[in-house]
Amino acid sequence: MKKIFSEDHKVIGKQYFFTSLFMALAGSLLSLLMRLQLGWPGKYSFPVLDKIFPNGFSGGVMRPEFYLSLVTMHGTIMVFFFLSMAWSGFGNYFIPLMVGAEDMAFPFLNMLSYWTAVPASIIMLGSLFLPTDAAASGWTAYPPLSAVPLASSGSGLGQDLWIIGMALFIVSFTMGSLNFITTILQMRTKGMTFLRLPLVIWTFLFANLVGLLAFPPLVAAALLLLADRHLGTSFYLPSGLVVMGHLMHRKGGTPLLWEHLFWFLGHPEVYVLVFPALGIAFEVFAAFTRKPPFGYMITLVSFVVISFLSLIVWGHHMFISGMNPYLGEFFSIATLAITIPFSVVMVNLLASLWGGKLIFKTPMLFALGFLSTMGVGGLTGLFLGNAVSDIEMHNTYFVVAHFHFTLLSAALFGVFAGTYFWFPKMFGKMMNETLGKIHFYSTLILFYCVFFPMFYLGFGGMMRHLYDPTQYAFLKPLQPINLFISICAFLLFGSQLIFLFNFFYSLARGEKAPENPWECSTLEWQTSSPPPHGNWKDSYPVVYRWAYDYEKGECVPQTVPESS
Amino acid sequence: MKKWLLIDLILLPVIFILFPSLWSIGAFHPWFPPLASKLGGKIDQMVIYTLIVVVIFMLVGHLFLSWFIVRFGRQKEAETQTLNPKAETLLAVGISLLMAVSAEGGAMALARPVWKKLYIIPPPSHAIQVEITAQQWDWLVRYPGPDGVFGKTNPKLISFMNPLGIVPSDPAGKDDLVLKDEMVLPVNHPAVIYLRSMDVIHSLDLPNFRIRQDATPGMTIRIWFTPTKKGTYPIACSQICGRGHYLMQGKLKIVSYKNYQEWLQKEEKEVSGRGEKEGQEGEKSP
Repeated sequence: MKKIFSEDHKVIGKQYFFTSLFMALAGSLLSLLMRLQLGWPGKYSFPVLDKIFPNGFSGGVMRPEFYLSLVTMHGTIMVFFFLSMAWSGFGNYFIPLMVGAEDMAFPFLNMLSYWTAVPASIIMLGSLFLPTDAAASGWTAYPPLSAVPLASSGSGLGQDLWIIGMALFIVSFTMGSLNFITTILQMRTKGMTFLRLPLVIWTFLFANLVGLLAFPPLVAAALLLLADRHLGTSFYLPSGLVVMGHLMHRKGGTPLLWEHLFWFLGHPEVYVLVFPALGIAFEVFAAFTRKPPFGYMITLVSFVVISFLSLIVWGHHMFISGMNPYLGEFFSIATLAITIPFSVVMVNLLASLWGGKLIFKTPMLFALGFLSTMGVGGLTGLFLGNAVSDIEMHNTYFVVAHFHFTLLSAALFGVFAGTYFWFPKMFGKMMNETLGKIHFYSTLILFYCVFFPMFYLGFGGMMRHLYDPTQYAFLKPLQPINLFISICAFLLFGSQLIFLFNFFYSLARGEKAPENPWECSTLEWQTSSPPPHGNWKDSYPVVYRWAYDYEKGECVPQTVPESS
Repeated sequence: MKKWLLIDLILLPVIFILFPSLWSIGAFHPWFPPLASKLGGKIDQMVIYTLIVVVIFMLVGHLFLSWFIVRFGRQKEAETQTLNPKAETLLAVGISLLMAVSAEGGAMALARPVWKKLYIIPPPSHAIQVEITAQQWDWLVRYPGPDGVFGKTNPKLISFMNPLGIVPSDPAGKDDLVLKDEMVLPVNHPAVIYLRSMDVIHSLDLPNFRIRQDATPGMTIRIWFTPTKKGTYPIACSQICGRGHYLMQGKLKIVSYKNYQEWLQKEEKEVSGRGEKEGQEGEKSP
């Protein structure tokens, strides 16, 4: 019992990490079902799947409603329950270690935060097996589709569970981010001034500050949606709605209100997810180039600017929603302004390689892959941040490609770089390098193969959320691309099994990890692997140096006094 | 690990140059659905400008990345151990200026006039007026008839025979022509669409005319375009709207102005014929 409801940040960190891996597995299986449908629409029937989802596959053929449920749940699970939770895992484990604390600021709150996320995950996953469908209104849950049960079978109990799951998740995230912020601000050990912090801690700080400001409004929005669904209010429902021939007696609301509230969370959320990946890339680059990152201060300033701008650009998801066109102009300008600090960060990351001694260990490879894919993801945002080209690209597969190049890039390459990098510290074992390299190359090549062609589908005009694109004559010629993507997606999933094997094999049989296998200067490597209870052997570490002091390619740990 | 070093030094640059280059070449393939509208060409210009900028940045970035990998992958010892504040500032200022000019500046110069024309300046007054009401999962297209005025609607009156709920007592509505999933417009003549939705959010997607506009319930949204080529084009929905989302398609026929007039007159005759009949029945029933 004490182990399960542990208040130790290392245990909670691992709990978060394993939960997020499990959710990633579930979420990617859902995407495979989608690719099965898109690659071979209506061609084959799968009686096996009928057994698992008796509701989703009647007679072995996927129902259109179930496809929409898959889209919705895949998005929700991957964004919130995999990526956000994976960062909570790393944050929990490494923030106290890297700032030199013995635990988080509020250990009990920390435990509570994890144990709020667990029921949220169970509710989300469980709703997939409802006899009525799981939520099927997209991860954005736009009303009236999500507010009126008549409009879609997924808008019944499934949507209620989705709202409750999301609200619980946000409660959990808010507790977690309060804890992270307080720990970073208050629990730094002696000598650990702000400007001596490693960049990854800064990125966790900014990500959680943005998250803390942006997430809670969605809880309010979700409560209003629940009221619209069950109490007859009309926050999001205008007058004169006729759904399925049934007149609704509501008046005065507008779906635009939900769109604003949702994207006020939804857009900063992507920065919450991408920041820690950037931080990890900086950390990994420093360790495997044997030199400090390029432009520490400028990167920090850029992060501040991005964090601020990220809170005022949500409207670029709504250019064509019918909101005031002058607002569209403002959001367009603000969004394109983000490209400036963001490219500075990306170029600093690239320039960090200059003059170094590159060591191609697995974490380094993943960080390089992250730099490439995130670069593509960031640049393709230029099409969507601009209100005019957005008209052509909005809600096409171009958007799907773009956010997989940003978010899946952060997930596949950022989270895996972090995992390969910190695995020795977390579990006291080394991961297998050869398997890691095979995993990396297959992931990188297949990632490009799956998501690059989606840009073309977008140029060709293929809309999102299509159960069967071959229904449209103008999309039929694009079907071979869909087939190619589907095959590559299955292979991409297969190559992740290499990682899972490597992970558990190394956990059982891996070489024992030394204290500081990558020879890093930051604090987490100055204690045993894994760290003892209370993190530090005798007393708190005292910091005398910047996080990236290198002398002739040898790093100097932060705990070494300046004079020696 | 020696063997791997060689593999890394060759494979990484190959992947980082090969894939983005292949993609860039592929991106200039004529993917866009054939263009058939005046302002659509300007939207295409914006996309192509962005495409060129993005392709250049992506290729240059990956060339640098690959060069760094080859150049510094064989290094015995790191060259720089200290920061170079001057180089850092120069690079940051340079990149900021580059992005400000290419992304923000280019986009503003090209995009603002188009956005203004599309949404802010009123469309030409001689434009043909059409109202489209989205409904799960059909497009109801309404022409105002000879009087040029749309009749009032009331959602309470919606029925199988009267899908829009046109108020029978309103004379303006008597000659309104309502079609399902079908629209006809003349070539080279501006057309204004008043877009509404009856139930959930839909999005009117006319890929060949570069029009994509959400139909948000409770709002009437104005959008306009000028078709430039005759032919039959798809109408699609690009916002998730429930089970039949993938089937929510219609046809837009662009014909000569003469043919359009003929078609309209023929349809109008049917409407007035039906209207008289309905009128007589209406008189009987109370």
